[in-house]
Amino acid sequence: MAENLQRSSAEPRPDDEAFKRELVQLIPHLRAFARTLCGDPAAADDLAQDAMMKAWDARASFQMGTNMKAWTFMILRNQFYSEKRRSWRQSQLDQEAAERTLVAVDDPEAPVALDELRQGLAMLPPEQREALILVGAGGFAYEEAAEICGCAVGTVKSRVSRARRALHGILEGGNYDRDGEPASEAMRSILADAERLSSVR
Amino acid sequence: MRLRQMFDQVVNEDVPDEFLDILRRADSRAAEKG
Repeated sequence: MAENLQRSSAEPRPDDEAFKRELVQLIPHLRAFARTLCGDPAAADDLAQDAMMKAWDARASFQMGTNMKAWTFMILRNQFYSEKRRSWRQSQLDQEAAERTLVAVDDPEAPVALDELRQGLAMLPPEQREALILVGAGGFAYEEAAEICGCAVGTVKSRVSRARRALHGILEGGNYDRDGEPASEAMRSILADAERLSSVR
Repeated sequence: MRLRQMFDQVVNEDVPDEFLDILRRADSRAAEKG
């Protein structure tokens, strides 16, 4: 008892330390998910930081040992749509971000990271883009993705399916084969990957 | 695995210091409150 009374009030609680360790591990994944939602890297990092702070502030409500990745992804997407509703210009910014990525393809100084896939994804509706990313790249099952998105499993599957079809149309119809490789080849690879991942669940 | 490669490209980036700074400041505020 005496030892507890002598314990400094400045010492972090053990639960907070464990929570922070796990949250730090998730920062790269949160940044990646935010990037797919926002398109713009700076806006994505702002979103990821806001989500991280919300997760920290809500840490008492999180049960250690459960899926923190899904929990923080849910916070991040809710924050994204909350800001989207508040800002009437958000849809304009999404379009501008998409246009910037298209312009960058013609710019020889553009980052190597920009590619046809990112451009195509930026042109999808946010709900379809997030569903495809969560299932196809985020490593989530349909059920987990549904929980993150706050919708039914069938809705997630429908969005993933529509996202695939939309991407197909974008990549087939766009001017992305500057390197001589047909855009259809990239799409076949994407569809095969998404199909394989979804069938494993 | 292009979709995963695109995602992992960001995952593998260095985490900007500001992310860790934010957590450190939040942690300090929580500790001060006791």
